[in-house]
Amino acid sequence: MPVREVIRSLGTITKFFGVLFVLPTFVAILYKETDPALVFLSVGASAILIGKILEKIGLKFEEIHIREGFIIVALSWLVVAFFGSLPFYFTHVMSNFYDAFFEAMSGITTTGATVVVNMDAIPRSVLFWRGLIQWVGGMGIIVLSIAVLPELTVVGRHLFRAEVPGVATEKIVPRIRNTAIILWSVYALISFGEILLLKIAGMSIYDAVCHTFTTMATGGFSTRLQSIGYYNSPLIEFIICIFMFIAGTNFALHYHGVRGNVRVYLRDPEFKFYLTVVIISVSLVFLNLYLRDVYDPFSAFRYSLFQVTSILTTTGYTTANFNNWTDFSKMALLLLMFVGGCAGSTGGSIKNIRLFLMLKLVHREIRKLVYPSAVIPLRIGDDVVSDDVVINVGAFFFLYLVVFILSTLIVAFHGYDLITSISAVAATQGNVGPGLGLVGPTFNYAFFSPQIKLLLAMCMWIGRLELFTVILLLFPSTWRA
Amino acid sequence: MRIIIGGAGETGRNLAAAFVEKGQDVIIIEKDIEVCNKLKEEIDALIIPGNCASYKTFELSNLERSDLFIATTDKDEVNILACMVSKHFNINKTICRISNLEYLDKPISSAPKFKNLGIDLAMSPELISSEKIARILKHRYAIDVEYFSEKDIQMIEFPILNSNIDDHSLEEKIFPNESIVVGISRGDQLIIPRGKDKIFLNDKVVLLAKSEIGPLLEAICSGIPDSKPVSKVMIVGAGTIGYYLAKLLSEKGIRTILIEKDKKIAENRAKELPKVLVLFADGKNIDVMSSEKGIDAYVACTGSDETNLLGCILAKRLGITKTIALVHNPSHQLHFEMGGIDSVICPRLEIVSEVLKFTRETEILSLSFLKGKRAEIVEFLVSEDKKIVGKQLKDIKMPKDSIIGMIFREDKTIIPSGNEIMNARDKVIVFTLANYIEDVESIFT
Repeated sequence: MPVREVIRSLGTITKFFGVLFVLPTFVAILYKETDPALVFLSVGASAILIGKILEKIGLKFEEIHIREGFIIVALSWLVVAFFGSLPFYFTHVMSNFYDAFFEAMSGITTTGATVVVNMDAIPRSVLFWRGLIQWVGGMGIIVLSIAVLPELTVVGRHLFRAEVPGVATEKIVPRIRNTAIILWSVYALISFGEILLLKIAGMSIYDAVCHTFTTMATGGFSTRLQSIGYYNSPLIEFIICIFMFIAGTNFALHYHGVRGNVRVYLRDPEFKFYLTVVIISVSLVFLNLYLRDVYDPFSAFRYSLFQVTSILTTTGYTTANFNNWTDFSKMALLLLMFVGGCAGSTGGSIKNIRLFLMLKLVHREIRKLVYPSAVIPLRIGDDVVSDDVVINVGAFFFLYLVVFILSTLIVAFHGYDLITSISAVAATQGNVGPGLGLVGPTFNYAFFSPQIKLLLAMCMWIGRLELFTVILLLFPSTWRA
Repeated sequence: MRIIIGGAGETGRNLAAAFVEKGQDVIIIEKDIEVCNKLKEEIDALIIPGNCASYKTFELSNLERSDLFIATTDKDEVNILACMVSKHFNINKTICRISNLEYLDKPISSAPKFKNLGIDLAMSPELISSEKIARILKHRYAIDVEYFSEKDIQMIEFPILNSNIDDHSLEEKIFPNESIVVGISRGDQLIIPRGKDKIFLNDKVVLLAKSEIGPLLEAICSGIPDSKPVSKVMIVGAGTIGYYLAKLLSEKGIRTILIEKDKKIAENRAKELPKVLVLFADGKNIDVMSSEKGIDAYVACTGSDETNLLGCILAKRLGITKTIALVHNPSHQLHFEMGGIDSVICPRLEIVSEVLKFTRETEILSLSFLKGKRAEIVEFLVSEDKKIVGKQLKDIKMPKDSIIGMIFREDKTIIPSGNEIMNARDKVIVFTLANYIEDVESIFT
């Protein structure tokens, strides 16, 4: 294990993350919040300093293997979450470090699960910071560093793969750095569009920015305790709904989309599958809510559209208290937590492409029973998927379940009820945010014991980096040699 | 610049790596999906699985209007077809690897007949290697020779056999002006020397020098003034490389013995090469080797690395001073070095150097010098606002393990001495170890 090389890369990422603290400092000064400004300034400065020190201790990579890439990425996210949590702690928004760490991890992994009880007591710059780390975590702190820092070019290739695992990660352009730049530009461009539309729809510029950050990242932190429900505006809900859907789409498609090539969307099998899932889920939940007389037709459509999109894309905004919905609709939402966005999107969870592939696999196996000697390649659109990929996806599924079941067991063991345990883990591992029961839309995660908060924070970390990157750290063979 | 490389064999891979290092956008087309998957881990380039000679590949992947296409597969016909296809997609320049002598009878050609096939430059790794061996054979003691700037400057590597300069430091002006030692290899170590560094017996030194002082440098390193030029060479293996080498050498009046163990080939070569003595025998057989007296150099050019290695080891044992071997699999190079073979030539890497020279990525680049070592040859344009402008070279504080080897100023190439003054907009060639590139860069730009 080239420890000193890994340390150096961690230092670079830390240093870079430290620079981001300039933004909340600026916001704090704008709103004349002196104490937070000082906290952001000093935490940022110490992150830069510590980053520099780590860089000095470390050595430059002469050659990097994929294994070190995974280690660097997994550890960077931990380090970043740590530094991200410090402002919450030192501004006394959170009374203990567990809460601060939970909130920061929930932010950076774009989960959106919160321990904040009273939103109004929090300085605006800290709320801004909460949104900003989601936005950065959405497209990925490593991808951003690769785009901005030329010194990561060599190491970048493996880091990129570890942070954006996907199923078959394809670069848009030959060089990894340019790919990273393109992804972030598209991300920023679409974000800018959302800010504009939200402002026009009547939000204040501050709210528009904070909500855009958390929509585009499919994060779900809001500046309001009632989330998007606070505005009670169908227009705002509709705009956010569209952008949640966009954020759940592969950004490689948006790259072609913003260049005017709209046909790529309809040619992409995963996008079509994603769209189908959205339409079917919204229709079913809508019908259920309407036919069971929970809402009038308009409200049923409005809330089902928003909540289904929000949960499916793993954003986690709420406009309705779905804890009071029918069991069918609650179950639908719980199941949607396991779907997530497309590969290459900012959405979390299992992702559409994997589900699609598994369905195809089942279909193939059934056909094989009918035609025992048939040779049936697995196709996604026109492309044949190699068996290696299929096996990898199968293993991912199983591991996802294993992590989910073990974590649920631990939470339930601590005395929480079934629905709460299951949905809390599903919502954190899938980077969704709110769950059902005690962690439902009108509640938060503050009541959990510190151990459970740490566990759930780990679930977010594991889920955001798509399991393998983090699980790898548990194996001694990763660290040997 | 966007560069497409067809085929990810040794040549394609090494080319891609070199271009990526220089910051170019590289796209590799390779038909073997397993190789593609491995490459994705290795190289920061776009890897496209597919046939590089097919219209479909080009169409599907939007490869139109790229700057350069290089066909490097081991099949001539595929390469030629691929170049034709790529021209159809408006690719600016094409380079084609061609091995068959019947298609290409010069190392590098841009003849009109190739233009009609959509090939701007045809290159033969085999013939390039033959030429290189012939170049090395011009000096009795040289291990490696490379020319730059219209053959005006050479980079040449010699073993130190002269005990008079053993344990002397470079400051003592062992080597004449207009020459500079840019590297000393001692065992596994490569030293980028300073004035205080010393030279020991059996070191290998790499010098940059004006071409005309080559013989003088050879005399200094070998300790033998007026050493006789190589006059009798034994070549084993009459494949393309062996044949073309025999042709080159015999044309220069060097007595050449060509050994081939396939009777048909031997007979054909004998017909084609009237001035060459062709033997139908096994080139690594001790009786065959010892039957000829006074051989200056033994060149093993068969298609088998093992045969080449065995032949050269035996030749060394029989007292032949100079042994040169081909290595087809670059990972075998270390075995050859361990076996004490003087020069090891890898055709698939030789063509890489030639392509890079052609694309003017850099004025100089010799992979044989860099092989296995962590040295880099880098080029910088001196910025006008740097402190070093106007200073003498000896006053410029260079980082450890780096040295200025050459300066290009307007049309002149200068091998600098310590008194040379650095001008703004000079192009400097720096030899350095890989770890120090950034430090070096900060000095010049």
